[in-house]
Amino acid sequence: MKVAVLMGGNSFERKFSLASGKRVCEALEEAGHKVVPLDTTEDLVPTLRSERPQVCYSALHGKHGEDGTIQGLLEFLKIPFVGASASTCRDTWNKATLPAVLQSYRAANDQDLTASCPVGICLARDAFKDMGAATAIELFAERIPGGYPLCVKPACGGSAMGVHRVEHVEDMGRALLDAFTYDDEVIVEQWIEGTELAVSILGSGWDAHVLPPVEIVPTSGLFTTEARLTDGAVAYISPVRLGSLAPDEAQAQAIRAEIERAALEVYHAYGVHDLGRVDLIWDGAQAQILEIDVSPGMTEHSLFPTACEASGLSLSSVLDHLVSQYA
Amino acid sequence: MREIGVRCKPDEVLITTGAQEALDLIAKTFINPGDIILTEGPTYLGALQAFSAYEPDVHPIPFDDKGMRMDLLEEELKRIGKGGAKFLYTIPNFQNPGGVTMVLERRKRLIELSHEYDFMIVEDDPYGRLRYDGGHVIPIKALSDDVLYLGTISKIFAPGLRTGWIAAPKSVLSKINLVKQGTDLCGSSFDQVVVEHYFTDTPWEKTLQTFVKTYHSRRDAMLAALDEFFPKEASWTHPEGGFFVWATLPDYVDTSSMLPVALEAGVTYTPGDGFFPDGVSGKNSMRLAFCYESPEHIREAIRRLALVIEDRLELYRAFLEAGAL
Ligand SMILES: Cc1ncc(COP(=O)(O)O)c(C=O)c1O
Repeated sequence: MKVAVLMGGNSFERKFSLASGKRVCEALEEAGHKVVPLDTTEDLVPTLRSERPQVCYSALHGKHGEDGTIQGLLEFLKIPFVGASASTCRDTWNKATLPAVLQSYRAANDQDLTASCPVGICLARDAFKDMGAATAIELFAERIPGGYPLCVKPACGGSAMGVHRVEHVEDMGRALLDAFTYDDEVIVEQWIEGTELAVSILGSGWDAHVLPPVEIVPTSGLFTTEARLTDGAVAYISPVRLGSLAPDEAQAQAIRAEIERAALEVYHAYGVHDLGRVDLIWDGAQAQILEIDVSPGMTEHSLFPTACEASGLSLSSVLDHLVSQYA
Repeated sequence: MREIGVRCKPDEVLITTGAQEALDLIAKTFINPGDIILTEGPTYLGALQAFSAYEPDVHPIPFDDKGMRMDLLEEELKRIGKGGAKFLYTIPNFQNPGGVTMVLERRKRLIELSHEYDFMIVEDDPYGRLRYDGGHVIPIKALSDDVLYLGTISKIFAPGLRTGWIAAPKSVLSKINLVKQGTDLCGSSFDQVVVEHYFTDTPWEKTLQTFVKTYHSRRDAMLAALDEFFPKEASWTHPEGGFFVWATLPDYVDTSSMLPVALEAGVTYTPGDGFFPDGVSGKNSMRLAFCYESPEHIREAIRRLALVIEDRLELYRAFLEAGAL
């Protein structure tokens, strides 16, 4: 098939995207597809119209790549593409939608969910800039169960950019300011301690299935933006070591199943299809969902390819399968 | 060298692969781990990189619009004592990244201090011939034979030819020469032939005049745009030559975290913290280069950057007023 691979873009995550795109192109070529790599420039639409790809794969990350912009454009051009629809992307893009999305999924299915998420508050830049929200900073500790340490992060965007662990109210201002560098909305929420995991999911509807959960172990400190791009700064262990979940093996197996179920719930709750990656923390009692990523990183250091490998699938065969559905 | 006021014999000059190699050679020859090196703070990132491989303890000395502050240097020298510093590295003309030029009195004072406290002076002068106004200030080397003077053709001809030189006392050069042999035996003679040809058989001084004219108009465009658009809380240097303006914002603005926003607005700059050995100082400053873009682009870039800064400032002010910082 003739596949256009979109990559680069001008989001903060351009570097990641170029690396992902390169890997995707190689994998698709290996599977025998004719690949057209495209950056998102002013010529994108004319090029897509003249190249007439049979399907698009977007390896764009961040703004424009995961917020529904590119998906909306492809829907308008009637070019089939791998991954979530524009309207789904608009929801998944903003992490603040998570509690409400889980809540309505629970109500619609009339069942308790395995997935949980940290309690948090989302505030807009203008509330601070024009309405004096900065005078109420001390309220975070009261409003959020458990108080400090708290997590401060941009509501939208990925790659851990602008994410802070804040220990005291005195450090809150700086953390908020930095997070506002990346987005106009910021979430302050419970800081969850536990085992950090990423669950990759393949497929659509009731055929969707999880790949082995990957355990994320930063070799020093936090799982930061830098660590994500650096060799050896973080270890991915796939599948997750049972010992990281519980001392008892049978119990750990049950927890792993619970984690996988929670991830699938999130995938369905948002209505994602083809592929996605759910990031979560097992806090010892529950799977605390952080976000779902509809354009998972595909670089050498990325979680999704690691999960494919752990389940014995080559990235090439997975991507081949995903694009071939649109033949 | 004679044209700029320095007298030296051929055997007091060593050709290097750019001034960058000279920095590495000097570091390799003289720095032992833990040795104290004095520099301007901020200083040329490439020098910090060249030095850091040999693990010195770099002490940055602030500058003002007259160059390195001799009073602060003297205080620091008193603290570390005679013989405590190995050498002082300075870019006296249109400093990178500061843009400032060390005035003559300070050059003289620096030499006195070097004798009093017994340290070498390394004078790095890539931009000296790119002066747009004000009068030539004679090199420190012209005031004292002991100085190690670094020259390069990178900014007046072609950086790709990797040709520079060290002018220094013979005794110093012989040590550096030994180290250079261990590094690359000698520089590329082909490059040197090209350079020689350029500086003997072409009207290079005329060509340089056109460079100077071009950069001059770009510098003027940047200073005018800064005056027009930058917020009143900001301050910046007024270089008489070279490539750079150093701008300082209120100390609560972090220029590293502001960079992604500026990039989205289509402007880039170099955050200030990279020019300090600790990587923390200078967080509220930035280096603005005017050498590359046209005057129109420079004006537009400064306009957009000012909007980004203004937006940050508003948010910061709100946090400050609320006592949240
Ligand atoms: C202060 C300073 N020293 C040295 C150099 C390196 O010069 P060269 O190209 O000769 O290695 C530069 C280049 O930017 C510089 O700014």
